[in-house]
Amino acid sequence: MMNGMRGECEAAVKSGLLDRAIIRFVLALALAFLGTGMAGVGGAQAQMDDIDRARRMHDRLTGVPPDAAVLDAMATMIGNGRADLAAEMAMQHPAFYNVSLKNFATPWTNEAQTVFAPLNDYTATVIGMIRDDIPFDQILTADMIYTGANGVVSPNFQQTSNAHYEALEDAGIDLSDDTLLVQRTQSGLPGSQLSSGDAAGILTTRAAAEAFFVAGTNRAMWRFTAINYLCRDMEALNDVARPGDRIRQDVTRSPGGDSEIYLNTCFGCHSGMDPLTGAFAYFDWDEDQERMVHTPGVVQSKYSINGNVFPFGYITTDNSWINYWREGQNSVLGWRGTSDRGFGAKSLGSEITGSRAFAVCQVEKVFEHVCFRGPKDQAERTVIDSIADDFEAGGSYSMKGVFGAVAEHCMNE
Amino acid sequence: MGNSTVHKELRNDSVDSIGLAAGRLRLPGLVVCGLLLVLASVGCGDYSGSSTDTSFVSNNLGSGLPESISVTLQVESFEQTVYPVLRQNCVGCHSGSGPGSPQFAHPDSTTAWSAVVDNQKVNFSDPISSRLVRKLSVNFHECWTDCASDADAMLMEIVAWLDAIEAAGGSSGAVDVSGLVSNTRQISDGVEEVGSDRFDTGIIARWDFKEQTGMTAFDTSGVAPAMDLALEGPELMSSYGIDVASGRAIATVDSSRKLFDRIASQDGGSQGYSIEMWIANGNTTQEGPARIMTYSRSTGSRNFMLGQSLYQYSIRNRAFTRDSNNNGNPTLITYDVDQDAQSTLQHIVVTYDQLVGRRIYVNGVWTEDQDPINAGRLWNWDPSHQLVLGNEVSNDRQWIGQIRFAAIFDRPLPLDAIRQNFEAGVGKRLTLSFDVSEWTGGTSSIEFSVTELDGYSYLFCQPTFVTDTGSVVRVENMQIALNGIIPVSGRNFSNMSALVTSSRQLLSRQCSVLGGLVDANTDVFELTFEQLGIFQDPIIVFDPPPPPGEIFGDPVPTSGMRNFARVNASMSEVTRVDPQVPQVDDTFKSIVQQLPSGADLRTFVSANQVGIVKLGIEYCDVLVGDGDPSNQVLRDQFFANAGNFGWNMSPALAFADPNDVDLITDPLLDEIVGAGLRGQVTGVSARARVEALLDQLIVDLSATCGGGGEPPCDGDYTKSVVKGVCTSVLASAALHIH
Repeated sequence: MMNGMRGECEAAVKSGLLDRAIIRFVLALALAFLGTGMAGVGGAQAQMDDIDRARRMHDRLTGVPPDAAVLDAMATMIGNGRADLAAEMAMQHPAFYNVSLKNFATPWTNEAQTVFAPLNDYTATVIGMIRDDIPFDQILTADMIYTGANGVVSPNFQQTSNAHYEALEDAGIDLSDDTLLVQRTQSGLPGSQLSSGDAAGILTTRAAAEAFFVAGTNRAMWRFTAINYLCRDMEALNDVARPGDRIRQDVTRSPGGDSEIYLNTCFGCHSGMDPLTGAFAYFDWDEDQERMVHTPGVVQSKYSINGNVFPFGYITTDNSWINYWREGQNSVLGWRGTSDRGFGAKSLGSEITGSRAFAVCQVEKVFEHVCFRGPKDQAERTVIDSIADDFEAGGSYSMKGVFGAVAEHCMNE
Repeated sequence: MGNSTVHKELRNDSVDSIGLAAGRLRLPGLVVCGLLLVLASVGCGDYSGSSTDTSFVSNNLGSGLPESISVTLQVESFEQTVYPVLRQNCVGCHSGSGPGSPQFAHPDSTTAWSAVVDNQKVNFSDPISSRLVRKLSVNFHECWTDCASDADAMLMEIVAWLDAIEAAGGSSGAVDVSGLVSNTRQISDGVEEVGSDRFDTGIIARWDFKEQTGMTAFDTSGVAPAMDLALEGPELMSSYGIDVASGRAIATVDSSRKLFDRIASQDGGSQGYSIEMWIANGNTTQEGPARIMTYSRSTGSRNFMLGQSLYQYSIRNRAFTRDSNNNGNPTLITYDVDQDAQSTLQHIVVTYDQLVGRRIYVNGVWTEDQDPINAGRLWNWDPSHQLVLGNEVSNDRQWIGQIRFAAIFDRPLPLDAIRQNFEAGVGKRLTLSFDVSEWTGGTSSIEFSVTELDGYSYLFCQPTFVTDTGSVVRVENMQIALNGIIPVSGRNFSNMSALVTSSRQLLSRQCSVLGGLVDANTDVFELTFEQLGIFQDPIIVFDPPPPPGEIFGDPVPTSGMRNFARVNASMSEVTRVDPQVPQVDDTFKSIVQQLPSGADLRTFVSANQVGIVKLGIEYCDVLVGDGDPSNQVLRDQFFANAGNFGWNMSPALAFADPNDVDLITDPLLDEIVGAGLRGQVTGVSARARVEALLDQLIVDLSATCGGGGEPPCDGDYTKSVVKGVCTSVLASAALHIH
């Protein structure tokens, strides 16, 4: 480790800010502190007090340490048995929105699932909904989007560019301020091709379209929605016992001359996924205009590409969807929507957010974000289920409540 | 047969059969009346869409209607479900006084119900295809909020209506039986289909690979001499074709000369040709190009070639032009992004003519790849070359895959002919008929077009119900058993819910892959049903087994690193330096990828720490400032008690008094580390330990100025010492582990 740092040290010296000798000492002491700090953290576990708990809670929720006054106030609240109030206080810090939530949501907005991506309308909408305590089960259904207030930065929101959100980030706009990051309707934005009934929360944001409607066959939108909102990738959903009558024509039934691969591998995902991706049949990402396009009543041509791979496969004729995974092994996801079928992204979003798996998944994501790990035993699984119960109770779907409850659980570590 | 054609023929069949079916119905009173009305409107295809809306029927040919409960009960359930939606939203036009027809929003609920049923506005077999739904979802007809939501609402009410009917004992009313199956069939019971007409004009060599056994694939073109292929490795397939896992199929030099004579010879050669093949590339990783078909002597001399390189096809042709060499280069390669070569069954046609040179068509479509050189005569072909499939003459360009058909023409095929041959298909295709008369009376059967998809599965396509009973027959949940077992995977007709109303009715345009092929000579097939006619054998759906217990994995650290954004925000938070300051912001953006990306301590590497130090240096540089008073505002706020500190003195003087040292170290420890330094480490106060480290650092730094090659011991150096001490705290784990 030390050898590796010497090279980096040389680069630091070249910055001209500090002398070589100082750099040497700085690095030595920084490393020394690394050990000291870890020892301190380790030592603190055995003698944790409310100050430690408050600091842990604030750090984990916001990503930054609290100032002394906030730390004392939170410690007092925790001491009084009101850790929930302490969490609320921490969540008033702008860093909870600009840093913590931004990092929380950014990996959901791109296929690489990287956190190194600029602010966009998807992340801004997640941040805004949590800030305003909008029931989070509207995340895939609402005609809602968050943008900077008019004139806060230049340019204002554009259908053809992410520049507005990058400007918000570059300017360090406080996203906790509801006069700066404001709620709007997707259908009401200039240049929108969506009606209120077509808008489906983050599914129909520009960033989601750029990431998941680009090229391909729109199956990516389902896959990443399942990853991010059901906490299940296709391997987990794979069920070869579902009907295959909605598998599209572009799926070869005999890859490499071996239909066993199709039956044992391809079929399990496509039989459930293809019927669901019909919901996105009217959506596409236009790479020339750099915007999402929506063509009500007209199925995008990408749904018929490679149609001669297997001409006897399913032909998409509208934006209907069916959830075959309501039966079989994936019935354990707890589908509770009014119908196992519907039209368009909004009703599919409702099918997802109405499931038990959606509620549990949101808690699991927050748990991972705040506790830096998944549940370690059955007792913690039970805690997650309990928090998910509260999340759903009365239709509140309060993500702030989830963050607070999870932070309270992990503050003792 | 195109989809629209299928639909058209189905509709004609339906119309033709109305009279026959209506005359033979044997259902009770009201149901008969309802059915008569239903059948009378089949020709209109209303619930499948308007006469121009053929899209839905192309996928699903099901239908359905309530049976076996009284009209009163049906109307009651209608009143509680669909009717209120119609009354609320459609009354303006469809109530009887408006321009709309039929009157399904009529004030009298029975009249409205009749309008819905008689005009087949609802499809209980597949509610999503109901006309009442599709009018909203597809035609956007008079939506009252937004069309998608309105369609969902209508769909929900139709499903509720169906549920209510079923709860009242309606829908099927069928007789329970056990073992609702067809007779059993084998491949040998099938009748081989002749297939659609191919375009074979100009064919000079053809291999159907129907031999089944032996070591030779015969040229069946009838054009002498026969270019029979010796199978030196490839094996004949029972479904017609050769499986090339190794080796080659090769013609003799003498028989191969037919190609030269017919195509390239100056004495009557056509100077144009086509290669047609049905192939399944074994993978998309082979290259070389791997030889699918070549007319050559070695890797360096050839007349033509079709090869595969990963996802691309390569075509070579020797021509009598300056740009073409004796190996057929330059190669025409399909555009890589198109990924034309796939590891699935494909119809490939390569053409060569004197106008456009080489072209390649995949599944009946030109790839739009242009020949890079002008076309020329083929007079310079070498008559001593051999035709080889699956490899090079020299046996060192192996291609792996299946060849189901191959042919060579002495002319470039026109596009229409290429499409015709693509649509004609390939391989052994049987019509297999399963008798279900036992359940329907009369003579009834279900016909499939069956092929061996590959060496592992059968393909059962386009089931068609054929009956002479004249009765309406319900077919639900049809599955295909192979050797007494219904495979779990691949079932495509389990959602079937069709109402057979004509003497010959296509049940589905789709195919089902039936896995588990053992031996085509002995495999036994059987159909099973959940409902067939008046009989039903309900499928019991068991709850899935509970998921296995969760595996929680190994313990992970409960503490974590701050990631890049948290590092930046935390440094800003504790120093109060604005992260948007260009000096800080620029550095952050330049090293952001060097900073930790996640919280997991186990992923922490030295480069992360150096990145943190780099950023810490910038923050501390801005915080401490320089000799310019305008750059000292933050310093004065942070080091609030250090107004009299010797900022402009040498280090020896500035840090001479231990109290002056505390003026610097106390704020750093209190503001940056804060509560993290409470408690003890190995029996000593944590804060005292760290403060001692800082004190020693200041002593050491103060001793390294003024010497040779060292900076002068002045105020600037004193500020540098403070910046260094600041950085050591700001970049430490005490802040960045949390």
